[in-house]
Amino acid sequence: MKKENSVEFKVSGRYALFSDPINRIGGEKFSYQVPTYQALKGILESVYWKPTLIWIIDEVRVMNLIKTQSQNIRPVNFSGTSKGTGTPLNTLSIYTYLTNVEYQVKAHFEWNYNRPNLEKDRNENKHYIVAKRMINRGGRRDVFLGTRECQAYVEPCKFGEGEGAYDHYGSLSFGLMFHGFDYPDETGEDKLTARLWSPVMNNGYIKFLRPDECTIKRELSSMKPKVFDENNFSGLEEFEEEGDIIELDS
Amino acid sequence: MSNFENKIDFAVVISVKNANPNGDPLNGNRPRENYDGFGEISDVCIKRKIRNRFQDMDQAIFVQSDERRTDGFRSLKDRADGCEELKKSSKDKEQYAKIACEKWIDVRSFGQVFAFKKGGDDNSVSIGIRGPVSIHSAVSISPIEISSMQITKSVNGETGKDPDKKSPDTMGMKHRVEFGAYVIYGSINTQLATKTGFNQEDSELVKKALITLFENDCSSARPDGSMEVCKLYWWKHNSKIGQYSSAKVHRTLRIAPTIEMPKDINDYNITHETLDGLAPEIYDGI
Repeated sequence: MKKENSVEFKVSGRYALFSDPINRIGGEKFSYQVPTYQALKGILESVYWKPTLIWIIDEVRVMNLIKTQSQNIRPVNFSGTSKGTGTPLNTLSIYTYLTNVEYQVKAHFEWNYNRPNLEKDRNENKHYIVAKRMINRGGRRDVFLGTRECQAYVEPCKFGEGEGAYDHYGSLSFGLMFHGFDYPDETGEDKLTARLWSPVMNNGYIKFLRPDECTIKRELSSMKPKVFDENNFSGLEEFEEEGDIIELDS
Repeated sequence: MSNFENKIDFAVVISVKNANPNGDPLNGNRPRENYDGFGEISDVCIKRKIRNRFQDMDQAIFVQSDERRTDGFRSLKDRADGCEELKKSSKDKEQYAKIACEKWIDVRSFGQVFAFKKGGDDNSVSIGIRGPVSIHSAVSISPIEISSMQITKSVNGETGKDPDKKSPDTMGMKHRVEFGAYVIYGSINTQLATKTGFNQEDSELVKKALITLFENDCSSARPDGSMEVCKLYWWKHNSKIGQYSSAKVHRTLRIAPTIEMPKDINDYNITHETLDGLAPEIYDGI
């Protein structure tokens, strides 16, 4: 079923690294084969987001063959120096990235009812139109695939259009995988929880469970939601500014 | 200080002749090469060079490499802790980020993670600042050819017990790219600029740094003149959000080899389409 406020976009890049902390043992990073729910949500939040709304990722379509490539890197430690020479410590790590990726994503937004003070900002049309326009412009902020160094491009697309590498592949399971985080501002509970699930890809398509449908969860820590009020959120006025832009370049 | 109001996309065409643009530390320092045989320069390598140029322009830099540090601090944590105002506001994360951004140009350009030990406080997590300047890894236009040579060190490092006895030679390898043309793509985002306080003047410094990227960068692996900035394309959009997506803008630059084995930047045909209402400023490297 297609939602009224459903958006579709394509995200592509030369490298991608989707992982959870479990895949980063000893400072080495190893990517999952497919993007996590949280990574795609993060991409969409970079494209357009307001505390008023929560993006729900419905489905992703893997367009290119899943290929990996390793890179050897030499990260600097934040603290500590070597005992002998006093020079900063470096570590040598191998990061394994996905290479040459392209995904089609379908998503929609829902109101965040944990923010009653933003009730006046719940204007579905406004957010929908701005989101669509931001997708056209490649996003309000820059977009990356999992980690900051994997810069990516967002472009509009028709979900399901074009030929994908897994169109006739059948089904492929990825085992237990990280789904996303439950943040306190979206659940209303003062804690940070990780969600896990077992995704299955059918002919290149992965239908995501909704966050509230995930049953495997692990509480990580306590956390308080960030407060958005008139001091740091300009909601309606910001839209006035956007209104100008509509006039300029519609 | 004027606010940063126009989105910017940029592309830098670089030529490499008999040099090692970015060695791979776990691969004997051979130039980085991807599985398809194309050369690569990592984004962090490019950011390091931009930071070095900032330092040459007397800007305050947070991530200083040890061999060219301008203060006494030997680690990032020492430098962060060495800043009085910063230390005072370690309880207030937003204030902390604000001060760090004001103080260091690389923090407000590229962002930075300030790592903290987990404390009792509910929200005591490390501070992550997302910077407006994003840079893709540079990839060569054609596959690169790497040549390697063996080198020897035949000098005594220390005088041994018997001063007349020569210590055995040490063998080593040096690698270089015969010729390669690379392109760096990047952009500067207005929304993140507002958050970090990155301003118009800073963007001019980034531009200047990119044009002069390899000044003061010579080393035995990259002798002066072996690496050159050929062209800088600088697209300044007319609005905050930009007229076109970066994907579209970056794609307008076309670089095609005119012969099968390019040995020189002139063996490439560099052209660009102009998008409606968005013409790039084009600079030659110095």
